[in-house]
Amino acid sequence: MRPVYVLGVGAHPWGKWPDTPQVGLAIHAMKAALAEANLGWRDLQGLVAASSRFEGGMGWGLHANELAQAVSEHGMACVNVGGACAAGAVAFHTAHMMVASGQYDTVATLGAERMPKGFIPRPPGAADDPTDHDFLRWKTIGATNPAYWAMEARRRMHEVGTTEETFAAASVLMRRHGAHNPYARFRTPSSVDEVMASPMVSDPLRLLEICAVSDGAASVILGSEAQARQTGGPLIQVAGSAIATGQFGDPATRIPMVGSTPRPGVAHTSEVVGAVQKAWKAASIGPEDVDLLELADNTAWHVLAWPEMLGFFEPGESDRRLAAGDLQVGGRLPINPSGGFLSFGEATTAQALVQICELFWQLRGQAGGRQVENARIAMSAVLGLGANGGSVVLKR
Amino acid sequence: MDSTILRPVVDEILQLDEGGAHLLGSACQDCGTLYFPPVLSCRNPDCAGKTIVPSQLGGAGVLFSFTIQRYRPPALFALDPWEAYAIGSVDLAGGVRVLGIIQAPFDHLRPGLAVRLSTSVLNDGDEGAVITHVFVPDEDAPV
Ligand SMILES: [Zn+2]
Repeated sequence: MRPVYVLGVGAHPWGKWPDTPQVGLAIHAMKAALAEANLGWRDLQGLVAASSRFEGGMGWGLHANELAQAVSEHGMACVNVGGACAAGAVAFHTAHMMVASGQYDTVATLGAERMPKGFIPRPPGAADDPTDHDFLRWKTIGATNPAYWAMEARRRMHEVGTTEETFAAASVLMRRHGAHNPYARFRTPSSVDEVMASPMVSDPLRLLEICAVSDGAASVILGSEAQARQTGGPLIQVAGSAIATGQFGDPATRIPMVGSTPRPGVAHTSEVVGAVQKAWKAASIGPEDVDLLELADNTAWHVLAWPEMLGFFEPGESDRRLAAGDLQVGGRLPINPSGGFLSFGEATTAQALVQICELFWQLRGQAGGRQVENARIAMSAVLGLGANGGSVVLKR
Repeated sequence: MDSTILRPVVDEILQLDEGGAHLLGSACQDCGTLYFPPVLSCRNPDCAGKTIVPSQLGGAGVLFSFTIQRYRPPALFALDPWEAYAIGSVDLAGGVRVLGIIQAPFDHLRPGLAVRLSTSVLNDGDEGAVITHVFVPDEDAPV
């Protein structure tokens, strides 16, 4: 295995873009990444794309091939990977291995998404299968995704005494960060009063504490050290890249499960914990070395629960850390300086890659009003359907 | 329409008999793990045999957590008439945690509440009332 570097990143701003096809968003993000890396399309030896369920990919999830055929037919290797909301991390991990193995010098990753409105529905044409949790959760209970997150939030209130105002404050922090990010969709700062006044969706979570769905695209280009030196600028190395799936006995009630088998002593959301621990091991670092963390804040609950779950804080400690300002840019462990999912809205397969874009911008000192001063080690963590966890550590 | 006929919304996982309502799941004969809904294989990585047999689940349980769903889910969930309702996760005997509608006054809901399996009518279908599994406060539970 040889060291791998990030040559450039790019994104299309998040939003609702009904007039731009998904491939159009993808081309925009990739052009930006190529420009940052001083590369042309022909320089790409490979493209790894996160496969979407919602649009494009010729019905087979062939998003990399679709892009090659749309914009540059030069024979590059195309790899398409699944991983639901963690697909971008799986794509990154795959591209990383391709370059690290020495078989490829320059490989791009891509996630591009246009999301359907409202609650994410069952896949069209899915069979009525009584062993399929997704069928059962809709048919017998009507359990939406926010209902799952809300049950976690309610349990947190019971176990560590988190208040509804603290959830609101976590949401406000994400918006405060997002206000400085031109790629974020929601850039107006909010207040605790405003969040508390937003409609209750699934108690105790309110509308402004749950991520919306957005359209967006992101691309990260990886290469060898020689490639990185040609690009110029401070070298940004991939210190760790890992994916993992869940452990038997995980106490999380995962979307879309209607039954689970919790066992004592097993980590909550073990797929993400497993990926993070593997990424730390690869990077030979621990939580104390991380200058900023981008995590998958599908709700305000995630902002509080994940830093504890991943080992940054003790259980229940996040509430106090939030109040003390430790989680903001300028604090001890800035969480989601990008603004997170709560400022972006989730564009599922693109989300893990825009997290990595943010790590890069932060380490390059290009993050403007949300810059974490002198950031040297930046880390992401993401979760996808099917108990998919992914984590990336970049270092300058 | 015969309103005395009760039809489970998914009859492969819910059964009514003289003993009341049962959920249909699976048990692993080798490691004892209980599953809901039925599974094709045991997923315990420490279990080598993974021999699965049908198993009835139900009876008494403890509410682990809950929420109140305020927005109407997609049409596959045929609650008619619609009103906001509670959903919860319930720990049943044998280490299986099951999701279900919780039929109790909202202000009675709290983690740790003793509940038991029951059924409730989702809608009055053409061929009888369509029912689903629910959990209700367990009046017989020791305090
Ligand atoms: Zn077993």
